[in-house]
Formats: sequence, structure tokens, C-alpha cells
Amino acid sequence: MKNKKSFLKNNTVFQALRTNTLLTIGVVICAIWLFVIIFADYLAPYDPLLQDLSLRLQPPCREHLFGTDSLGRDILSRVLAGSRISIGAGLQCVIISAVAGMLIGGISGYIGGIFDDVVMRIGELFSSFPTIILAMVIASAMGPSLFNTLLTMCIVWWPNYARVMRAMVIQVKSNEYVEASRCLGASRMRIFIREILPNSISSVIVLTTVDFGNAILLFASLSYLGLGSPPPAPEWGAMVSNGAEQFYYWWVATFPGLAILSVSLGANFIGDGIRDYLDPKLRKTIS
Amino acid sequence: MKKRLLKMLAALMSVTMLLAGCGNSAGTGSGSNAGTAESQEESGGENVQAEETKRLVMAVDPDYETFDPGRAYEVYADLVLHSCYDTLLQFEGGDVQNLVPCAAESYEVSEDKLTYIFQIKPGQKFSSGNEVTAEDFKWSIERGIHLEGNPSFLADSINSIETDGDYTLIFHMKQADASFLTKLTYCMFAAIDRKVAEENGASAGEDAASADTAKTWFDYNSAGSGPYKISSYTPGSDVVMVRNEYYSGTAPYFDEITIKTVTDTSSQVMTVQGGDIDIAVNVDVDQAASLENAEGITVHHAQTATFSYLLLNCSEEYGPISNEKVHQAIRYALDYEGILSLSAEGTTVPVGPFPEGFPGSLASANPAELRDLDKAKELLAEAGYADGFSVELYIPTINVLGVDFVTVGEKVQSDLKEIGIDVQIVAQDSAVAQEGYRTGTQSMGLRMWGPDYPDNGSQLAFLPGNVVGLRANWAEEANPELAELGRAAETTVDLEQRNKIFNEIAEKMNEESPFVMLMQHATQYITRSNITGADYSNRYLFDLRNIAAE
Repeated sequence: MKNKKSFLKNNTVFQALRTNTLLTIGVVICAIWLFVIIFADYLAPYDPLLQDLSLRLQPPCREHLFGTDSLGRDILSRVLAGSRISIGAGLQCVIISAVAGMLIGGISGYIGGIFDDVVMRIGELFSSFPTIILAMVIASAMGPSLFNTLLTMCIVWWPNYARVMRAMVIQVKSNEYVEASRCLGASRMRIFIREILPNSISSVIVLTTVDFGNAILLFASLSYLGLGSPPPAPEWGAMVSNGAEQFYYWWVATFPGLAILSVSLGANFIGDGIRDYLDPKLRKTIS
Repeated sequence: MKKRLLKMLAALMSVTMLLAGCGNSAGTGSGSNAGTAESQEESGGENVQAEETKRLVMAVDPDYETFDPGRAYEVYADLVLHSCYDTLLQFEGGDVQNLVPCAAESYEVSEDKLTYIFQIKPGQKFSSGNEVTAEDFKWSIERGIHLEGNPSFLADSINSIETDGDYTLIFHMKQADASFLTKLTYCMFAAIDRKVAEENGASAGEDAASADTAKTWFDYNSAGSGPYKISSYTPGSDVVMVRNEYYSGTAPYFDEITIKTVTDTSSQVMTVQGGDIDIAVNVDVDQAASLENAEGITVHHAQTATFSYLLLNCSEEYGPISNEKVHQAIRYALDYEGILSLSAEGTTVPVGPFPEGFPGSLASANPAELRDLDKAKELLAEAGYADGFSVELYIPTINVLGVDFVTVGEKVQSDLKEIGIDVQIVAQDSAVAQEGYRTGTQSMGLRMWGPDYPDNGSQLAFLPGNVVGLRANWAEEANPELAELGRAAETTVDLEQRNKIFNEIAEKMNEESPFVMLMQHATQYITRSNITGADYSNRYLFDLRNIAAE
């Protein structure tokens, strides 16, 4: 008992949670959504694709807590089932572009020279495209699908990570322990994997958590434009888009909208919290 | 500050009152609201029918690009053009079945249907005071043909135009054209004041497409013999029309008509509620429902000629969907009652590609009787696809008269799932979907169609080998019988016989065609309750000549 208490007191993670209310809120929100993602099938009261036109556009009531949409589908069930698609897409996008950006930026910063210049200019080229227009171009060229939308998001997103990673690598590679390792005859590969990567990865991880919320928002806005997975998939952005056309039935757009809001808010709180936690210097300057 | 404002208001008021007083005293007498043609002539064109100017204000979300009668072919342009220009024949009010004479007094058609002779009413005048002659008609129509603009195709069947004296106009046709008289209601066939137009750069020569420079002038002015003339046009804001002082027909009720551009539907509704506007044309289904009991406002429901349909590709490279039995199965599998519940009140299911309300169209089908899942499954099994198959459905992301197309697509998807057809929806930007439709590469498409002119002749495009038919890769050889019937309908001028042919085509196409008609859309609009004669017209949108107030 005593041990546990001291553990709670000394463990820095719990300290961070205690001192940072926003981080706590973020963790709670994301924990709830994680639960929903795992148990969506059991939580949803109805089949999210089941149409019943006799019940179309019912306002929230006891049978349908969030009301029904224009095809009589239960919105609560659709919001719950949609968490898998929407949160999953945000997560995939962030992880894929973080890994790609880390490798490209890391190698580019490590090798340096013309190679570095060329890679970074290509990255800038990609990130200068307006995401939504690029997504529309890709969607019209290859047809709208979940895969294409994710691809677009990753194409636009990886340069952010590459840039951060490159800066870190350039900083780390001039450290003495890297020098020492080279003197000991370690190969470039080994130095990169064993010395440089572990020491420069932390800032990318912070960026990932902060970006996760933005990725969900971007995915929602792309699916709002009809560029996500094809109907009838219960995708939050598409559901908001459907409801935006019928303002008289406020519940159609409101509930998926609230879901987007809560997830991206929760993810941003966690991102900020982790940044503060990992970077006490920054925290001091902010406070 | 407040005082000064009051003073200014008072000054303004007195000026307006003075002006109004002048208007009255200039006329032959106030209060003569007989509103007949004679009183118009006697008064020498003064607007003196009532104490004050009778003004109609409409709010629309327009698509007009020009008010040049030789070039305009947009839906909303007719609101203005039909008010300012007299055609030989016209439709009245919301009716599109019975043609009535307008500038023409009478007409004769030759036995072989290749010559039309029109007698023009003498004594009609343009808004400039010039007299309307057959020569003006000939010149105007030739100008429309040579401009090669959007409406020029309407005159494709004309071989030559001839005049005989001042009031006789003769059309010689290339071939019999059963829709010709309906086409004559378009403003391309209206009389334009040749003298005025030519002063402003108009030309009717063979090279009119490049030589004619009058478009800009026509955008801000009119030179017709209709009851109104354009007094001002501010693009993106409003068009104001005032009486044509020289108009000789029955004078319309209103002295002045303002058509305001209000793109937002809820602002249109609000301004009607506030009393600033008399008619709001673009009203959402749900807005209309919420206004059903509002005081001082009447909600109108009307059937349009626009319909939505499923296109099924007939080319074998698209797999099972090309099978004729599958087409029939899909027709029986859909829940039409459910589909209609997605759209405005008054929406119906047309029989064949012929909208209810056109001459020769059959009455709409009873949606409750159209579905037969057992028969659909049977047909699918006969075709050899008892286990179903998978097909892509291309949908433009548009909203047609308050109906979201993707939602309709999802409904179709769930209906077809019940007979084992797995539909994958591909929602596309409308321009992208249009491209797929034009090239005939959609395995299955959800499309909308608005007739070019209110006559079933324009719907023959759906027959095998014709424009729309070919988009589904439905060649003439696939159904020579229907193609033959189509040709007969095009050239049969005898109305009764022609309508019989249309009925036959409709019934045949309901059995064997790659088009599944889903709905003929209804629309809704609101007016102030004192407005009368505001009937929806599938030709003019609204016939402003017939609108009055109580």
C-alpha cells in the first residue's frame, strides 16, 4: 500500500496527469473513444446501415437517442460505428506519414549535401499543394476511396515530419558520442540506427500526438466533400455533410460534428500535455 | 442627429408625393382601372390605371447569361424574355398542352406538313412604336439561326422563311417536325424590332455569329412587342421591367416587375415573410413545410418536367448489368414508394421517359404496385445471376430540386441488396460524372434529365440509337422496333396518332429498356396570398403576363 502510494507520487506520468488538467481531460476523452472503437458492435443499438424510411428524420427520442437521418438510419449507431473509420483513418495517416517522414528526413539530414537539398525541396513541393485540391485531383483521377484519401493526406503530411526529423538529426550527429562511435569503427548504418534515431525521435513523437487531432479534422473535411470511403459507410464528415443540407433537422449534423470535435480536442489536449511533459524548458517559458 | 434624419425623411416623402401627383395629373384620369387594351391606347401609354404603380417583386436564384432572344436558352431567361417579346404562338399560365395564338392571328399547315403559313395580327407595335411586320419575324428568326447560339438547334427543321405582304409569314420545312409549333414558343422565334436592333449592331446575315455585336445592348434593353420592356438590369442584383406603352394586347395587371437575384433560399423566404417580395421561387422542401400555415403566405406545389432515372449500361464489357433480364429485375426490385418519400410532395413515377403533363404522356404509375421482389429474383435467376453480382453505381454529388442524389443512391443500393445485387457507390463531382455519362462508360448511373422543350419529341433522345440511348450503349440494332416507333413519332404531325405512338413507346420502354425511371420531381414556391395566376410553367417557369394581385 505504502509502496503504491510512493509510486504514484514519484511516477512522473501520474504527476503530469495530476498537475495538468487538460492532459487528464484529453486522456479521459481518448480512453472513452478507444473503448467505443473496440466495442462499437456491442454498443450500437441498431445496425448502422439499416434503413427504415417510415422513421426518416426522427428527432432524438428514447428509441433513437441521436435521432435518425434522411434514410431512417439510427444516428447514434452510425456515430459509434463511424469512430472506427474516422479515428482509424486519422491514426493511420499520422503513423504512415510520421514513419515515412522520419526515415526520409533522417537519412537526408544524416547524408547531407546535394541529396539533402533535393529531398527537402521535393518535400516543400509536396507540402505547398493545398491538401483539399490535391485530394480532389487524386480522387477524380483514381476514384474516391478511403485508400486514395489516406494516400493524399500522407503525401501532403510527411514533409512536416521530415523537416523536424532532419533538424534533429543534424543537431545530434555533431554530438561527441556519435564521433566516438565513428572512431570505434561503427558503420554508418549502425550509427544511424543505434545512435542517431533514438536520440532524435522524441520531438517527432510529440508532433505526432499534436497532429493526430488535425488529421482527424482533415479526414472529416475530405469526407465532407465526398472524398472518403463511398456511401453508405458511416463516416463522420460525410454525415455532417448530409445534415448540412437540411438545417431544419439539426440532429443529423450535430452529433457526428460533436464526435469530431471531442476526438480532435482530446487528441490535441494529449498532444499539448505530452509536449509539456517531454519538454520542461518549453513549459517554463509558456508559464 | 435624430431630428436631422426626420427632416430628411420628411423632405423625401414630400418629393415622392409630388412626383406621384404629377404622374396622376398627366393622365386622362386616375382610377380608371379597366385594364383593357383600349384604355391603354387612349391614355397614350401613360401608367395611370391606378393611384400608384402596381409593382411585382420576385426573388429567384437565376441562371441567365443574356437577354438576347437569339442567344438565350436558360431556364430563368424566359421570365424576362417571354414578358418582353411576343412569339407567334404561346402557352398561357401553367399550361403546356394547348398552344394559343400570340402575335399570330391564325395559321395553316399544308397537307404534307412541310409548309406553315401564319397570319400576323395587324396593328401590333414594338416598344419603340414601330409596327410589327412579317419581315421583322423573318429577320429575327434568321438572325437566331445564323447566330449559331444555344437555341439555334430549335430551327434545325426549317428550310427557308418567306414573307407575303406585311402580315403573312411562310415557313418551308426540310422535313415534317411534329414539335415545330411548340418550338415556336421560344424567344428565338420572337419578333425583334429590326430597326432598333440594327442600330445597335444586330445582324441577321450568314455571318451573324461573328458580325452581330448587339448582345451587350440586348442584355440591358429589349426591342420586343410584348407587354413589358426591360428598363434596367444590374447583373447579380435585379432586372426591372416596365410596361411597353405601345402594347396592343390585353394589358397585364402589373405596371412594373422587378426580378431580384437572391441566391440564398432562406433569405428568399424571409423577404417574402417580411412582405418585401411577392414571390420566392427557390424554396426548400423543409422550408415550404414549415410555412404551410403561415399567415399571408401561400405555399404552392407543382410538378416539373425534370426527372431522375437509373442508366444501366448495355455493353457486355460491363458484365451482368448489360443483361436485359437484369434491367427488368432492377425495375421490379426498387421500392418506389420509399424513393418518393425522399423528395418533395407531389413527386411521381413517370411511365417511360415521358413526363406526366406533356401531350401523349401516360398518367404516372402507382408506386405501391411497382415493386415485386419475387419476380425480380426470378428474372435475375433466369438471367443466370441467381447469386447476384457486384456493380458500380456512379452518382454526381448534386441536389436536384431538394433531393440529395447520394441519398437516393444509398436507397437504391439497399433495395438492390435484397435481390443480391451488391451496388458500390462512386460519388463524383458532377462534371466528372457528366464525363463518364457522355462517354458511355458508366456501368450504372444515377442521372437527371430536363426536357429541351415541353414536348415529348425532345424525350425521344432516350430511344435506342439516339443521344441518351447511346450513352447506355443501347444501339439501334438492340431494339429496331422501338427505333422505328421513334422515327414515326418524330414525323407524325397528326396529334392523336402521335400520342398513340408515344403511349406505345412508353409502355414498351417500361418493359424493355436500360432506363429505370425513378421520379418526376415536384417543386415548391411561395407567394404572398394576394397574388393570383402564379402558376408554375414547364415552359416559362412563370408566365408573368398572367400574374395579378387582389
